[in-house]
Amino acid sequence: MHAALQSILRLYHEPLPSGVPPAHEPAEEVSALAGVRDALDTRPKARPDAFVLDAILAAAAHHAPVGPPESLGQRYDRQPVPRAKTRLRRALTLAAASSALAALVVIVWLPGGDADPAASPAIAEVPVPPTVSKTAAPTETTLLAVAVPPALTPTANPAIEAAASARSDVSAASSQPTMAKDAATAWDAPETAATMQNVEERAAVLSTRLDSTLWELPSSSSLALPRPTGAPSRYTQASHGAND
Amino acid sequence: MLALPDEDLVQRYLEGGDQNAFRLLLERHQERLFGYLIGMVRDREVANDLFQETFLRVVAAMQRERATYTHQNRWLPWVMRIARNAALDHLRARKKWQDVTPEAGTADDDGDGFWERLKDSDVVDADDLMHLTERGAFLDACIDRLPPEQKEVLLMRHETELTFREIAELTDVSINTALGRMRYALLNLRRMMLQAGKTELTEYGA
Repeated sequence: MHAALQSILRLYHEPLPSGVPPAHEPAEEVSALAGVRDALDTRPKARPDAFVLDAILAAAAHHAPVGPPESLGQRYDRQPVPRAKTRLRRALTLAAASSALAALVVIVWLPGGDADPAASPAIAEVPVPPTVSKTAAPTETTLLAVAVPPALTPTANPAIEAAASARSDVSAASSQPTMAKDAATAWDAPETAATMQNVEERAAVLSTRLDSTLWELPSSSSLALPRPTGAPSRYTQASHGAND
Repeated sequence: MLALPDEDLVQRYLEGGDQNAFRLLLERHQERLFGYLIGMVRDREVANDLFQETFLRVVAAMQRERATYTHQNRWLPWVMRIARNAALDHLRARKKWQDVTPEAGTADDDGDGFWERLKDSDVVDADDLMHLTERGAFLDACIDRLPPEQKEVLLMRHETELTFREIAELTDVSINTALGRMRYALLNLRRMMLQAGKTELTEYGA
């Protein structure tokens, strides 16, 4: 250690570090610095205001530590005094981070309800059959038909084959109005005719039953139909018979 | 109780919640800590705030990590570290603090760099200083003109009465660096006094 530094230690009555031999001190410098040291020591001491001490003592009384020491953790002497705004900002940050994490988990683990995308055949990998009109873009019906697995193709069932044939006709004709009309007629006509025939037959039967039922209602009912002339009801006949 | 060392008072406060023990600690060291803080910030109101903030941190830290300072030799250096952090945070916030490089202020410096770095407006004006009639105010003005690293060591030694080894640990420098800064602080103070034409040095035997 330099002699000048040793003089500072000696000036403040501090011992030399162990193992350091004492050196010759510059006497002039020591005496000069001693005068400055004495001037500094005689300065008046400043004290904090009384209300500051009261506030500190109140805080110490409020937070008087009792019980066993807590475990050592993060150092708090470098942390600023926590404020309400800081706590609110931390809470909002934590909430936002949690929401983002939850959204990320949903996106990663729920990709459209299929856990293994490789297990389902991709539409792009299925060979597309030739269409009627190559210039026209494939319709939705065509794409759906292409995506059907080979085991479920219409060839396995004549009814399904007929339906698929009709659908293909509709799809092919969608680009040409005249063909679309014919295809729609061919698709709808048999079923519509059969349906209409059944409806007419059932309507006739129901009408007959309804008429007979309403005629049998008492005359006081608002739903009773006017009877045909010369045709007494069974109730009238029964009442006349009872009076007789 | 007045003769009890700091560590015993701290133990009384922690184990039994003795408020008088904490009050005694506060009153015993208030001048040291407040003198350091007001010397660093040169503003009484700010020093009051920093003093209160320091002890609020002390109370909180004593609750959370009671063992950290009991492992050290003295309670006051532990509190001084908190006070220094509070003061440096304030000075950094005011952007008036200059970070000290490890090489600055070492024993190899000749101490003239500070005077060369001074602007004309910062040069000690004898007329201005002569208006400071009180010797304390005059010395305070001289201390405030010291480089920050020298001023801090001087305040820690004279106000807080820490040893040079404790100062070196607090400021994360070697003891030689701390001693060198103290030496240059005293030399610069003496030079300022002589330049100001004051006769205090003669009065004090220098």
